[in-house]
Amino acid sequence: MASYFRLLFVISCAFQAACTPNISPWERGILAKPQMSFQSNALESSLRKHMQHSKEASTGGHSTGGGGCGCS
Amino acid sequence: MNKKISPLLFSLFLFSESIFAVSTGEAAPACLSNNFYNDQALDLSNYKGKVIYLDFWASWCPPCKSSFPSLNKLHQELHSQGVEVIAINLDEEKTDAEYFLKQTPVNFYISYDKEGNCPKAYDVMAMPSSYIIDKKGIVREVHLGFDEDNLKDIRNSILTLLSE
Repeated sequence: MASYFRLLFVISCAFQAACTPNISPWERGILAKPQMSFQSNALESSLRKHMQHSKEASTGGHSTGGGGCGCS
Repeated sequence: MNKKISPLLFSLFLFSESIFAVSTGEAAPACLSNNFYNDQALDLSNYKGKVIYLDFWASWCPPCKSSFPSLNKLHQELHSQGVEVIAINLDEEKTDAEYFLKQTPVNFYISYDKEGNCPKAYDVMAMPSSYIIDKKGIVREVHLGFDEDNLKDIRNSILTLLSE
C-alpha cells in the first residue's frame, strides 16, 4: 500500500504547477526574443555548426530557429 | 491489477486539463478586445451578415508578419463584397506591434488584446490562427499557422460563404 502512496506522491509532484508551466502559444513573446536563445551569438554558432557539419559529415540535432510560436 | 491502476488513473484525471477549442460548426464566442488605435471595444456581433476572417497575431511571430501583406490584399479585394478582416494583436508590449504596423501599414481592422481574453475564448493552438466566420456568426474554418499556398483555398471558401 505504501508503494501506491509513494507512486501517487511522485505523480502528483510531477504535475505541480511549477513543473508544468502552461505557456499558451500567444504568451511566447518574451521567449521569442533573441536574448532568450541558447546561442548568444547567432553568427558564431552558425559558423561553428558549419564547421562541425563539414568535419563530422552530419547535420541537424541543434535547436531550430523561429519565433517560438509553435507555428512552424 | 485494477486496484494498482486506479490511483494512477485517478491522479492523471485529477491533473488533466480540459480543452475547449473552438471548432468548425460552433458559434464564434464573444470576447473582449479593443480597437488598436482608439480603444473602442470590438463586438463581433456588429458584423453579422458579413464574412469575417478573424486572425490572431503578434509582432514576434514571423509567419504572422508575413501573412499581413496577403491579408491586406484579401481585404482590399473583398471588403466591398462584405468581407471583414479582423486581426487581434496579442503582443505583450503594444509598442512592438505599433512599430511593425508602421513598417507594414494595413487597412483592415486591428484590435488589441493584452489580457489574452480572445485567444482564451477560442483556445488558440498556434500563432497565427485564423477563423473564418460566416454571415450567421458560425465558425466555418479554422487555420493554424499561415501558408501562402493556402491563400487560394481561403479566398475560395470566403467567396463560397459570401454567396450563401
